[in-house]
Amino acid sequence: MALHSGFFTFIAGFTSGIFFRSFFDLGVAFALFTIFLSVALYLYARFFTHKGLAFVGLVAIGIFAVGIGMLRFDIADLNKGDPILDTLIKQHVEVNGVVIEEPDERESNTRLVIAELTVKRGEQWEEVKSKMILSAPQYPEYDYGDRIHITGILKKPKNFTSDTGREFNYEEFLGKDGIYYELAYPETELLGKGEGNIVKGTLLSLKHSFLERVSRVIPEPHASLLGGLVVGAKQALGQELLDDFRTAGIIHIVVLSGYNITIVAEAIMRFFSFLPRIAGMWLGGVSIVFFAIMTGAGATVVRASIMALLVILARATGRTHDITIALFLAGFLMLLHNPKILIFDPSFQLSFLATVGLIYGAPLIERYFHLVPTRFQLREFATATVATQIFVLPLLLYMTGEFSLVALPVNLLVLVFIPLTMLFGFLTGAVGFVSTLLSVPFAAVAYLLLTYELQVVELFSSLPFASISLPSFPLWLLALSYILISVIVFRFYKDKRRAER
Amino acid sequence: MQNAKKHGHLLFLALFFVVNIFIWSAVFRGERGGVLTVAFLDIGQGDAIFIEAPNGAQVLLDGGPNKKVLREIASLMPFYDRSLDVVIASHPDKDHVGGLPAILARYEVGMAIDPGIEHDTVVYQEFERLVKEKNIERIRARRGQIIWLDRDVYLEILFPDRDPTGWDTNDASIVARLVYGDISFMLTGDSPQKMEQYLVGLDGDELSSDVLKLGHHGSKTSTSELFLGFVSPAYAVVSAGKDNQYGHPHKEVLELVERFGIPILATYETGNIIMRTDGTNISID
Repeated sequence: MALHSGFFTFIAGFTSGIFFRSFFDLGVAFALFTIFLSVALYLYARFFTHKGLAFVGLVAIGIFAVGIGMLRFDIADLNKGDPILDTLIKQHVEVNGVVIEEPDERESNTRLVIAELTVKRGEQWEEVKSKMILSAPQYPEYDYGDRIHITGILKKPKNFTSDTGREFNYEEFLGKDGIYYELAYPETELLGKGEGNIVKGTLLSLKHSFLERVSRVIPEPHASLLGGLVVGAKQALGQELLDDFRTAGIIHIVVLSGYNITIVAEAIMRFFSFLPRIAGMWLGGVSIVFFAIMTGAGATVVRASIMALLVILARATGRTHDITIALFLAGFLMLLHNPKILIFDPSFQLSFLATVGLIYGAPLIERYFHLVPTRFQLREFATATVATQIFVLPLLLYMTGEFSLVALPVNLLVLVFIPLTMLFGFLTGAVGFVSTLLSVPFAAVAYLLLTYELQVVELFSSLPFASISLPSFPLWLLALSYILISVIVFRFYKDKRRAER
Repeated sequence: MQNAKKHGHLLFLALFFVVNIFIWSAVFRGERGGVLTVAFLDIGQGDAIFIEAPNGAQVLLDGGPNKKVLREIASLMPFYDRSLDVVIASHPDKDHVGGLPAILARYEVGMAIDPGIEHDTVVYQEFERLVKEKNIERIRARRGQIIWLDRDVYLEILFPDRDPTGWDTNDASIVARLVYGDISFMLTGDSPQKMEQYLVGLDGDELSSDVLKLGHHGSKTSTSELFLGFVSPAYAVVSAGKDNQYGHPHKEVLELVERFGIPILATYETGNIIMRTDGTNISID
């Protein structure tokens, strides 16, 4: 019991430390002071009092963890940009670098993240430490691992206000991945290929040719949607269609890689529920790992996949308590790896919340769904959908201000068919490597399913009042919502435990 | 076991049912009933025109600025149709050829036609590279060429009438007239007023058409009063993006067209403009 509460106190403290430090920077000394304070408190309790030692010990651990959390953030913040680049802001610069992320193809441009940079100063090339992002024209096309030469105007990323009037902290959003500069109006030129991580490069080129096979037999926008579902392709669906997905409240299956993995993994398990339970779990687990690998295993996807695996484990074992420990440990390790994701990475937040929703929320609301038929796992789909929706809703409202009134029916109608779509989509691409002609029958089925899904989205998003836009959803309301949800969940499990005894 | 057998039967029936629907829908698709379709695609600021002859021959004249053309063209073709007979690049500017590399990468293309002007935009180089790589027959458009799409349907090249090497890209724009029976469409790319006047000078009477796609997205650099008079269309089409940075279409042009009493259809207002004709009448979706 003592070890147990120590564990949770430490994680709570660590997270609070990072949370605080994400907004206020009081310097490294403050973190060190906090740690010192906790040690002093512990020693005082140890040697000068005898009563309530356990409690004081816990407080000491909590304060200690707060300090460690702040310190971890301080370390992450050490290399914020590069002094040489800082002197070149707003100037025309010449840079050489390697494309270190999969190029993000939008409808009319491609976003590239480059690292291993050298910048030209006078006649000299100097090494600089940072990553840069640029919106390059669509052609020439670059691949992961290409070394390119770029000229453009060096800029610092700027925060911007979204259509619904929310400010988006773009600077920190990029900063969490170590990107502190932007190159505007870039002109690019290829210098060499095949740099970067070989495994990642190979996976991404496999993914690339998979998508090419698919697009040979399936037209747009179906091919792009399929690419997003099967291998997490960041292809352009086009602004209008993306808006439709947003209005219909199902945008998460196409853009927020993270949240979608949890939901899709859950759907896959449901789909395989006719198999023995353990087989379904394995298939679900393998699909997640496979998906993560096929996407190129970026940090975001890896984090989300780990959480999705936890959901599966929770289902398989039914041991909520052990899963809780695993979930918090996973969250802690992720924050230890990159503390900035706590506040500045929506995809981490959403996938964590979706996971919590599935593990704790779904059993709680299940009893309200006894009227939903159990055929085709409809009841489970409904519970899972509603549970995740409830858990991510406050955050989504805070971030986007958009509330989709049709999200529930749309999610139900679409999610039921997602596993089958993924299966046939995967077969289309895989068989396409052997023969384009042979892949056509699979493509036909996938096309039919994708057409259905797109039709559902278009139909519901075209309804009047499909989505309402909240002018403001303040921070305190966000906090209140989650406190409320936590209290309800806690009370439910407390009652349940008491009933079990 | 019994159960599996029963379900097997059902599955078999369902499969045949689906295949049946598929075949019949393909048959109905194939039966175009002598109708020529001309679709001005809503691809934002640019041009992309899809033509399908009664026999199924398909032409894509320009591909818009980006990949959006893929979606628009797919909405007009059945999903199993992955070929285009002719792809035309009216001239090498990005708002006309930006989507063509993506088209060439995904569709089997029988023939590529362009004015034969050198240009150093990367997109156009990509277009040329893909034409070469895929061994697509490449033809330089010259006045006098006629591309037969069907028994009574042809595309007539009116311009350029010589090698445009070294010209401004808009000046080199292909001007083509699509004819089916009594009905014709004048498609002028970004051709400017001086070229319009030159065409009038060559043979004004051959210009008369039922539909005119206003040159250069309705910019005042095109659509001279003289040219409009000789074409004297029943409909004018503007292919442009909403609130585009060039202010296309210009109000001078719109006023001129209105003065002639010609109704204007615009992609930025109605989306895809789809015209169908049987050779005597035109209907607009």
